[in-house]
Amino acid sequence: MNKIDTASEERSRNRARLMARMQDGDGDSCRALLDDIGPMLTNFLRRRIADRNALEDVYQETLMAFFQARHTYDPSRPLEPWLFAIARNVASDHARHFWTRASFEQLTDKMPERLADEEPRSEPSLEDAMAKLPEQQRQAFSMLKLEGLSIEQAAGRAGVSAGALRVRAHRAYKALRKLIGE
Amino acid sequence: MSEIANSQQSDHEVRHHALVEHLVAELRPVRRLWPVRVRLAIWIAIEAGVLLWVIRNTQRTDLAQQLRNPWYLFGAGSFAAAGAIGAAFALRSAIPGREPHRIELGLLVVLTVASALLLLHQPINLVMPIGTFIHEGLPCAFGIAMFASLPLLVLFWAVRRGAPLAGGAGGALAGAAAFLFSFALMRVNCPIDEGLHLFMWHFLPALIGVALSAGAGFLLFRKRFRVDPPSSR
Repeated sequence: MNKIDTASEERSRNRARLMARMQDGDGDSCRALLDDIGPMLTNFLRRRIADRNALEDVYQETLMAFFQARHTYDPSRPLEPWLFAIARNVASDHARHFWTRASFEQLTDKMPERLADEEPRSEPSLEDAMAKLPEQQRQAFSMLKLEGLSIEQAAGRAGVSAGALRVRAHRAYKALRKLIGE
Repeated sequence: MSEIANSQQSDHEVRHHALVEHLVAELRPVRRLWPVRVRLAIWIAIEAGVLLWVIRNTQRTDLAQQLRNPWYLFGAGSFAAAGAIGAAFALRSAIPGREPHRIELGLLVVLTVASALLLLHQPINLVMPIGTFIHEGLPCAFGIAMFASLPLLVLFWAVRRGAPLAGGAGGALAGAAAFLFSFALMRVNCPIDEGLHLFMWHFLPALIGVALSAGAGFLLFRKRFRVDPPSSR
């Protein structure tokens, strides 16, 4: 057995352990597991869904389904088949709804008329949202997510402890979520 | 271009973190499902209880004699086996990633059809008056539904406790389990061994029961995968 197989098996076992703790209500394990499976899940869904916005929706729905079905997971088995079965189901549900909707839609060469008093709506961009953050939070988010620094590196640069930087980043996520999502 | 990609990646990460924090805030300890074999054993114990009750109250006077008849034993036993297999599949269908494979489902259908074909081995009486045929048959159709009702409710509850990804299939498998086993129980209870009676008043009601269960499963088990999302984008 080569090193890659061993490493991936160890990762899989670690995920199963985190999931078992998540079933017991451990928030840190839940956070760590969801962060760990995120990229793997995105890659899995990207092979099935081309549209970026739809991909984002299906990704979120899959995580919610994963969360709600967590009691059905058996920690003695690998997590991945269980997770991918949920993801496959959510993606195929999405595809079914898409085609059902598409079969009722009609293509038209005329844009619908807009009401005169209707204001154009647009979602704030990440840049606009970040501009509204307090300096410390903006800096924390930027170092971690845009520059890709580790917590320790970012904390060193900002001259604060890793814990304090984590708090700033968390507050930034919350604020950005509010600004972009609402 | 790479800035747009980076910005989209960051948007994704922001949303991911927002959702994760929402889920962590909602997190509560959950009670894990018991293993399939344990829940299957409980279901079979319930069926065994119903079987004992049927044996004590059977209308058959020749049960001891029939138990030495291999055709009778195999005919009833194969339906009971198909029912137990259906129950195992129904319980598995409620666990993502452990749904029965198409080949396994195919084998269950083959076993059921083969068991039904065994009914042809029974003598067929084509000269029975229609009134008598219906009069004798209706209680059996009712009995099939009665014997299936408790095991079906138990299985529906067990499947609903899980997370069935395909509600109709979960319902159909639960129905197949309960009604096929009920067919076997009815073979113990009903003294009529005539082929047309068995097909019309035992097998057909069981098939209708499976179809109705599939519909009920589709309605009861659908859209169970919904958590209120955090105030979405």
